[in-house]
Amino acid sequence: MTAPRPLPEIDAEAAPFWAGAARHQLLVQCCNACGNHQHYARPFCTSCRGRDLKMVPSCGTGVLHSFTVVHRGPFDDLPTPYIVALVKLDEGPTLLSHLVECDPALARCDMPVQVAFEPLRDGIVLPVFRPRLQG
Amino acid sequence: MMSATATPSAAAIVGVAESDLGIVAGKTACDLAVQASLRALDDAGLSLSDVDGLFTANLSRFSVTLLAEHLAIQPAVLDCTMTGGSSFEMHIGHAVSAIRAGLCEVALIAYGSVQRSRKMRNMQGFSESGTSAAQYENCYAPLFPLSFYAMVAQRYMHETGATSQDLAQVAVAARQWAALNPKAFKRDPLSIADVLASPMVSSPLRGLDCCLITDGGGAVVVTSLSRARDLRCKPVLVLGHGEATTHDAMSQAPNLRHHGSADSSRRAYKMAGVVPADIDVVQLYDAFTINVLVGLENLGFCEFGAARDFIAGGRIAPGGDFPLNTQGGGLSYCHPGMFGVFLLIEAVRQLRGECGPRQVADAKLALCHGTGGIFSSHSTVILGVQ
Repeated sequence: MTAPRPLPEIDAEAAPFWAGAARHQLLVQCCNACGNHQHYARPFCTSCRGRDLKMVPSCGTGVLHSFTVVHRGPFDDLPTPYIVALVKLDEGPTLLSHLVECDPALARCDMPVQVAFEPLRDGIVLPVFRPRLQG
Repeated sequence: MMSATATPSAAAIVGVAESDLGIVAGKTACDLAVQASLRALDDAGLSLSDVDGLFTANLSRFSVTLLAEHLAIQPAVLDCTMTGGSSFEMHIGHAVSAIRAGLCEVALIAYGSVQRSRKMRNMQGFSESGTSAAQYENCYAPLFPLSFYAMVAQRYMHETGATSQDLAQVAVAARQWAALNPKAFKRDPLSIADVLASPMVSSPLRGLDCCLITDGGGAVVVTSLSRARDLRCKPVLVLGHGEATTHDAMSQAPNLRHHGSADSSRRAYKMAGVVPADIDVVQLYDAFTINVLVGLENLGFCEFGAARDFIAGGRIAPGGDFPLNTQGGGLSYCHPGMFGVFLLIEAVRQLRGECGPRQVADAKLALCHGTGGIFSSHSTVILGVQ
């Protein structure tokens, strides 16, 4: 328990995603040819292999595909327990994130979630997810 | 449908050995790979000067040149394919291809690790710069690799109704096999209650759902069947092999329950001309208890979702009719970082009939399945004796 958790490494391909998060926008990549949405950004569409893509705002809603409550954490800036989550966005892509504002005992696979934003440090903002009330 | 017949160009395993296991102070990873190599060559009745193909992984940045230098050999075929725990099953496939192509005749596959003595493991686990995980995922502090296996287990339990008790059965069976193996690191009795009482680390996986952290090394010698017939041990034929990959980062796994192991094993079964029901003994990489449940399904031993019923009643424990991880597995025998080579060693010993109190009667066909990373890479090897 000596180091803070790592900041994301941000190369040219990843920069738009993290710039979006800093303005509280969750961005995914969309293929202009076939409409496939993907995370993370690549120079081609993983579905049709087309090369014409753009970053677009996600609706920010999805479901908790799976999760794990971490009880023995390695970083002193992240108290345990915390919930690591695989979130499946309504547009299709899956992201690794955190489930926040949720009692770990109440987390369930397939529960609806929506994006929120948490500052980390050095201007980095992490997209995280919280339970979504079904209306 | 079993047809364990070898073509004239087939290859066979003719020597296997472990290095010292457990806590081995004052050695490097390469030292243990060398120790295991010499023992495996002794087992085969071959010498270092016979070795013209060398296969290893993760001893150092340039693993195969380091090991060749230590062994004082200059092989014609060099391979340090590194895909985590599946590396050594891949090495078997690559060695057989090289032998069939006439590129080498005696292939040595070796590994060593001193991760326990050197305290090389921590809770965070592995993270590497320049990966998609470093760009998008490590900032969320998943334990690597544990948290991914935990999320596979969570989804598995959600969809199938499997419980923590079902996972614990796997750890208990492994310990029962380990009790029959003098080389196993953990041999004291273990109950379901013990596993359930161990501390939760990354839910639903507890401490005793996780493999050991030990030192150790292992080596396997492969040669052409014609050369093998001149050696003293019964040759263990390499009948089939296959490999697969599906993802590297956690978010990129296409499916948490359908894995690359289905593809790697399908390729191996096809090459060997056998079906799952033909297999007598299975060595399945048990980095975590969940690996066995999803592995049995993906390797075709039972239907998807049926593994909890399949293993019930001590079926994979000693005396059960589906002998699995008969040396005690990574959960109780040893786990020096990557377990793949130890799957091969035990399968060969079972097929040679050398396993004493844990021997599987009339074992003629064995399957070894190695997994690497976070279910990222898979390699299946099918071995047989005539």
